[in-house]
This record gives sequence, structure tokens and C-alpha cells, in this order.
Amino acid sequence: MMVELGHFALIMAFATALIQTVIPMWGAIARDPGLAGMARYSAFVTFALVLIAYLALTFAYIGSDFSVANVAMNSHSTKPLMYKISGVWSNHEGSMLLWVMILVLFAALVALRGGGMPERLLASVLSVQGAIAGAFLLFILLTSNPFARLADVPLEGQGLNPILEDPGLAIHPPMLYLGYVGFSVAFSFAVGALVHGRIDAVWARFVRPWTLLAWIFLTLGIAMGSYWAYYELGWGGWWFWDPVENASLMPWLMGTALLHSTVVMEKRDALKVWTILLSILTFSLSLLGTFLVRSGVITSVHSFASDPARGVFILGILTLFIGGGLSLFAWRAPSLKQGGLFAPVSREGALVVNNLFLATSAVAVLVGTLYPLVLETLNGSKISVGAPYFNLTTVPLFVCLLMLVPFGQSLAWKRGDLMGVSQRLLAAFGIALLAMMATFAITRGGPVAAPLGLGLGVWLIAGSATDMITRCYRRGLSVSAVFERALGLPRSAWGTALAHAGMGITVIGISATAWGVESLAVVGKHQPLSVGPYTVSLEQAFKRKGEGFREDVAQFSVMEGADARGLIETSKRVHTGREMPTTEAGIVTYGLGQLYASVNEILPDGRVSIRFYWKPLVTLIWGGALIMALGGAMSLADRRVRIALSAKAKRPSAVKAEAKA
Amino acid sequence: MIWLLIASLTGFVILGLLWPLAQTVDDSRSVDDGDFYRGQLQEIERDQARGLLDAQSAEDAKTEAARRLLAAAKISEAQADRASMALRRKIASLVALIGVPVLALSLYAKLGSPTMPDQPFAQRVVPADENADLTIMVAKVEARLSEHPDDGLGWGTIAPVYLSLGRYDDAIKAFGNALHLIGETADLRSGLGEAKMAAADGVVTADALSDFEKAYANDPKNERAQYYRAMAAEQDGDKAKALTLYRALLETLPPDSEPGQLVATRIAALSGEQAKPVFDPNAGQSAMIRQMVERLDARLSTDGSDLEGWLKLMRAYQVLGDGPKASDVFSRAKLAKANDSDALAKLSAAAKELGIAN
Repeated sequence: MMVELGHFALIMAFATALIQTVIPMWGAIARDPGLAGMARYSAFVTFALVLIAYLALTFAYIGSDFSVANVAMNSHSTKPLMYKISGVWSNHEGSMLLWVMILVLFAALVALRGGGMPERLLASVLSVQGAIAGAFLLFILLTSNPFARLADVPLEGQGLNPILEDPGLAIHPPMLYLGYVGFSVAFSFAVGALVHGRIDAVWARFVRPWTLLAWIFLTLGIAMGSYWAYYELGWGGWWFWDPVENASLMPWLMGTALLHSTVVMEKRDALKVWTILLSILTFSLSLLGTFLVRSGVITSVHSFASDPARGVFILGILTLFIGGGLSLFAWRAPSLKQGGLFAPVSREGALVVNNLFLATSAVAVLVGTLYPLVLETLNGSKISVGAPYFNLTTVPLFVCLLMLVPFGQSLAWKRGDLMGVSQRLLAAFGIALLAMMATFAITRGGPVAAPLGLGLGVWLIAGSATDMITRCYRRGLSVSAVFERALGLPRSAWGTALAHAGMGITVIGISATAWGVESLAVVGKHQPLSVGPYTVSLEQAFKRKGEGFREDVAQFSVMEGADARGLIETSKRVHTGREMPTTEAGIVTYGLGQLYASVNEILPDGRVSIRFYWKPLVTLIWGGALIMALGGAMSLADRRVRIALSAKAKRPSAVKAEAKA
Repeated sequence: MIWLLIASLTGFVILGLLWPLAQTVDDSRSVDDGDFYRGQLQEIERDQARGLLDAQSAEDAKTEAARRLLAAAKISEAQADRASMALRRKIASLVALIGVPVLALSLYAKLGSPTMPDQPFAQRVVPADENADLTIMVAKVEARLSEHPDDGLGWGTIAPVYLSLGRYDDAIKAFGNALHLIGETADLRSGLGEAKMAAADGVVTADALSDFEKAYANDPKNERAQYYRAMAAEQDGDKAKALTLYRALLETLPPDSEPGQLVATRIAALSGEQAKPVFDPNAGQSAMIRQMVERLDARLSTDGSDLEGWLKLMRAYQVLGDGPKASDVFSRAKLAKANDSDALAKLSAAAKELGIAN
């Protein structure tokens, strides 16, 4: 009964999403506050209905109700409770339901926080959100219904793919979806503004927290997915330029650009049309990501054709929203009031440069991801565009961008003083250079790119620090006064500095991969194997049984010189139910680096074929991402109305240009 | 009960949708852009008071905010008139009141299964008869065996199940494991032979035959071993030997039992007393054999290079009593092997021996 109630609630949600689409938009166009007022309540109702449906499905999973086809195919009565709950989104149908639930959650939050928004803008935003939700609800109901029932109820379910039976899975998809779907709010705001015909700093003020929220979650989701692939797949790599990964990276790049252009708009009332376009493009890339992952088009264009219902449906949704959004943009954007002009050497000018670099790298990734698919469709040839292409295109773009970041961050609004900024950054540049030279000296003969990358990372961190110091420190101020000024700085300034420093930390972590050491060997008991600064030797190899699996474990002791540094364990696991072996990597963190062990095979004679990596500073990759997200959160916590501060020495010409705008 | 829940849910939803329409519109609540810029002005003053801004930049910022405030004030938004608002509300209420339930219920009628109760695992009554779900049973035994691979009895239990499921390679492995762990028994040995025969598209290969011989040596009363030894002779074209073996088997079998009748029809076919098809196509076993033969046929149609296969197939159809099919296979084989005179000779010899018309 719960199941059927959930099914009905999901269908009802489709109906209310239609109401949410049509009536508020009508109200907004006809300037009727009564109809527009329905936007908020219909958003609440739709969210409540989808929540009921979602809880009903979760309930079926927890109770192992195998009369629900989705549960029978993806769960097992003996699974631990946590994986029963996360099992809901471990499959296509359930994850689409989660996707829609997050979508309507965002709409409900916009409605909840929208009290201070102009009524018409709120109505059109929620209307667009309703349209997206309606389209995806129809997709779920017609092609991927998680509530389909089985007439012949099987005794036992088929279980979960053991790779997915992992805490990483429990958190990674919801994070990623919060990011993807969060950008739908920016999209809805953009379409709302286009319908509305007005776009200004107020608009930017309301859209900024949503973009920021989506960006934080996407950053965490990507970092999480990367770490999960790193420890679960047992290859020791943390990024594979896999289409699924690219699908999440593209909206991140575009979303980062959007985040920065929104700031320009809020503070300076400029870059309006570009910001609108970025909002549409960012969500388009999120949708494209969903399409790539969910339609089966990635495995092969042909597998997409063999089950066309789903793929074609998502393609239709894609065309409707991307095509519709861009057409609306082409039609209405020329009528939008243009924003102000500004000097090229200024904070806003620097942010335009940032936008160009980020958008270009997003396009580069897009081309690399779609090119093989297009080629396969055209002439059936299968090629794969791998890491070399992506490294060749995105790395130079990113290096240029990141070298410029400290300048942009320190430039004043309206009219920057490049000379002054350069002088202030001289110390930061010196530190970075010094770090680079020192690293070169220490690792003489090692890879060249690594010290350069390290220098770049230090440059970003030192640049951020410089910015904060120049804001707080004045000659002659006492320590406590400086401290007070630091606390008084807007939280968004701290957020910016943290996020940029976090990027620098990630860059250092990535550069350090070049110093990684790999040792592949077949070793017998107590036979030492050296991995970077450590020596490992096989202590024992044995069999073990765990909950729902059995495994062959190889246990190594780790020595650094003469000091024992503990044990490291890696195993080959076979899960009962699905006879599918997985490799459980053994990872031990020493300082900022990690020792990574991955067993290939335990031979009958007791020897072990093993792969060891020493990855110095590798944790910085994800640590940096966490700090970036933290910076985003700081910035999000800044609820102040933003103002643009110009440089103190302001010239009359700049004022005139401003007045003209 | 379910309809009651659905009805009350529908009620709440409509109530929620129509709620704002029942409210009087409060114009003062809506916020305009002016508020934003007024807020900006206040912010500038606060920052200046805190010492984060000096007088000059505060003045600049204020000027800009004030200019924008003036611009925002110029855009005044016209309100719709009251009469058309009332009409729109009526339409919106009707759509929500009728459209939502009608759409939801008609879609649910198409997609839902309202009569189906929840069936959580803990409350499920396991059906008494054991053939409930063979695959689940197999999965359970497999799970057990993967943890206790030395359970010979387990292997012995699952092996015939594999055989009947058509998982011949798994059956061969399972029978082999059981023989290895339990020791030699005629049943397991003849089962292994049968699995091998099944894997070879129903032909009693030399390998399978040696298993049947071993089983027979172990227990001369083993019916399966006796039957397939006879069939091996029959497939080799040794009619006399086949007949002797079949007759010996028939004597030990009750005449009206299923195996008894099966053997009797073989004998009748071999001795030419009846020209009707040897196998009853409906009998389980013959259906299985038929299937194997068809598989072999299909394989040879796509890849005709396998001479042994052609010979087997010809023989199989003849044994099944399907003369026309056998001669058809003969001509197809000749086509496939047209360039190989050695193979052609073998084919012709076999056809002659089997009495296949050219």
C-alpha cells in the first residue's frame, strides 16, 4: 500500500508540476499577483509529493519488498541497512528519482527563501523549475518507473553490484546531483529574467547563493568521486578523463565562470547578457552530463540505439531546455538593457579573462568528450580521446588562468592599478620562485614539470595571502587592530582567498604525482620491496570471511629505514550473490602522502603478485578541493548586500565612463 | 484503504494548491528593486563606520548606488485590473481542482497496480512447493559452495540441476568436482557422461562413452549407462549392437514405465518394424535432443567448415527419423565442402551407411 501510495504521489507530482509551470508563468506575464502567488505553494506541494514517493521507495528497499521490480533487481534481503538505503539511488530508476527530488527540493527552497524577491521574478523562476521537474517526472513515469511491480514475486533479490557497496556510493551521487541540479536554479533565473525582460544587480544578488551552493556541492561531489575511483578501482589513478568524469567537470568549469561573472553583475551591474548565457550553458552542460551518463550513449552509440526509449526521451528534454533556453536568449537578449562598460585593467576586466579561460577549457573538454560519439555515429569507427588530448588542451589553459588569478584577486574594481598590484605581489612571486628553485635543487634529475607546478600552487596560495594581508595591514597598526580588521573583512573576501588557496593546494597535489613511485613485483614472505622512501615486506597471505564476501588478504609491514611504520593490507574480494571479484586497495597515509597497495594475485605457492605506489602529497588533491568548498561556504555565509569598491586613487575619466553607462 | 489514502492525498494537494488563491493579495509584501539599493546604501554606511571604508571610496560607492536607486524607481510596474484578476483566479482554481485529480488518476489507472499489497520480505509466506524459483535455489547452493568448495554432496546436488537448466559446462565441472570429492559412483559418472554428451550437441563422444563405460563397469544395472552405451552404438551405425543393448535394458525395465517405452520405441525404430518417428517430440528428453540438434544445425549454417559436425548432424537427423532433413543436410554439407574431395568422400560414405537418399 505504501508502494502504491508512493507511485500515486509521483504521478500526482507530475500533475502539480504542470500547474507550477503554467499558472505562475501566466500570472507573471499578466502581472497578476494572485496567480503568481500560486508558484510558491505549488512548489511546496510538488516537493512534498516527490518526497512521499521517494520515502515509499526507500521503505520498499528497507523492507526488501521484492514485489517492486526495482528492489528485486537491485537489492538483497541480507544487505546491510546502509546499502539498502543507498541502494535506492544505485540504479537508473532510483537515481533519476533522486535527481528529481533534489530538483524539486531546490524549487521549494527558492520558494521558501523567495519572500524578499520581486513576485514576478519568483513566479517565472519557479515556473521554469516546474517545467524541468515535469519533464523529468514524465520521463521517469514513462520509461524508468521505479514503482513497476512484479506479478511473480521472486524469493530473493539480485543484489547490488559489489563495487557500489561502499560508503563512497552512499554520498557521491547525492553530492553530484545537488551540484548538477543546483545549476537549474541559475537556469530558471536566467529564463525568468529573459521572460521578465529585466536583469540587474538585484537578479544577480538572488541568483548568487544558488550558484554558489551548487558549485560547492559539485566541487565536493567531483572530489569525492575522484577519491572513490582512486581507492575502489585499484588502479591508483585519481582522474581518468573518462566521459562520466568529464560530464561532471564541464558544468564545474562553466559554473565556476558563472560564479565569477555573477559577482561582476552584482557589484557593477555589468556583464549581464554574458551571465545569462553562462547560466543557460552551465545547466545545459549539467543536462548533457545526465544524458551522457543515463542514456547509455557512452558505452556505445549503438547500445543507445538498441534501447532508444530512454535515450530519445532525455535527448528530447535536452533539446527542449537547451534549445528553448538558447532560442529565448537569442530572441530576448538584444532587448535587455546592457550593463556598464569598464576599464580592461580592473577586477571586472580580470574576471572577464577568467571567464574566457574557463569557458574555453569547458569547450575543450566538451569537444574531447563528444567527438568520439559523433564520429561513431557518422562512420561507425570507434576511437577514444584519451588523457593526452585533454592534458594538451586544458593544462596550458589552466596554467595561464592560474598564473593570472592573484592579479585578478588583488586588482581593485572599476579601475585597477596594475603596477601597484604587481609590486604588492612581488613578495608572493618571490616565495613561489624560491619554492620552485628549492624543489628543483632537492629533486635534481627528477621530473621538470613537478617543481613548476609546485611553484604555481605556491604562487596561488601566497597571492591569496598577500591579498588578505594588504586588506588588513596598515603601517603602524597594532596587532590587535590588524586582527580586528581581519575579522571585519567581508566573509566573501575570506571565501575568495580560501578557494583560490585551495586551488593552489590541489595544484601542488597534482604536480606531486610526477614524483610518484610504482613498484610491481611478485614477492615471497619477508622479501623486502622498496617503494619510494619505504620498504615493504610480505608478512602473511591468508583467507578471511566478512559480511557478504570472502577475501584473500595480503598483509605487508612497512619500514622507513629502520623504523617500523605499521601494516598495510590489500585483498581480492569475492562477493557472494554476484561472483564478481573486486580488488580492495590498501591505503596508508604518511604525512600528506599515501602508500597504496593493490594485490593482483595470491599465487598457490604463497607468493603474492603485488603493485605498490608511493604517492607523495597526493592527499592535497582532495584536501585542496575541500578547502575550495569551504571557501565557497564562507562566501555563501556572507549575506551582505555587495558593493564595489574602487581603488582609492580614482581618476575622473573612470567616473565619466561610469556615468555614461 | 488504498483508495482512501489516495483520496485524502488528492484532497490535501488541491487544498495546498488553492490556498494562495484564497488569500487576499498583499501588495505591500512584494519587494522592489529600490529596497536592494537602499540596503546597499546602508551597507556602505555600516562599513564606513567600521572603518573598512575611507570617506572617499564610501562617497563614490554611495553615489553609484543612489544613481541606480533613482533608475529603479523610474520603472514602475503596472498592476492588472481587478475584474480580469477574478476571472483568472476562477480558471486557475478550476484547473487545479479538476485538472490535477483527473490527470493523476487517469495516469495512475494506466500505470499503477492499486490492488497489489506491499510484500516486505519479513512478511512473505514462502510457498510450500519446492519448485518455486529454481534460480534462487541454485544461487543459494552456489553461495554455499563458494564458501565451502569441498562440499561434495552440494556439487552432486547441483550438477543435475545445471544439466536440466542447460548450463552444460557448469554441469561437467560440478559432476567432476563431486566425483573427485565423493568418489566413484555410477550415477555421478553417468551424469558426467550425459553432461558431456549434452555439451557436444547430443552426440555420444568417445569421451562421454568412456564415462558411460566406467559407470557400467561400476554398476551394470545403471540404466543411464546402459541406455547411452546403446545410443553410442546406434550413433556409430552399429545397429546389431545397439539392438542387443537396448533389448537387454528393456528386460530390466517395467514395460509401461516411461524409460521402458522410450527403449521400446528405439528398438522398434532400429528393427524397422515401424517407420514412425522414433521419438515422441513431446517427450522431455527428445525435446532436449531436438534442441541440441537444431543448435548444431544453426552453427553449421553459419560456419560450414566443421566436417565432424556435418557427419554428426546427418546422423542425428536420420536417428530422429527425419529422413528428408538428413538428406538436405547431406546436400548442404556437400556444398560447404565442395572444394575438399577428401571430406566429400567421407560424407558420401557416411550417407551410404546411414541410408540417406542422395
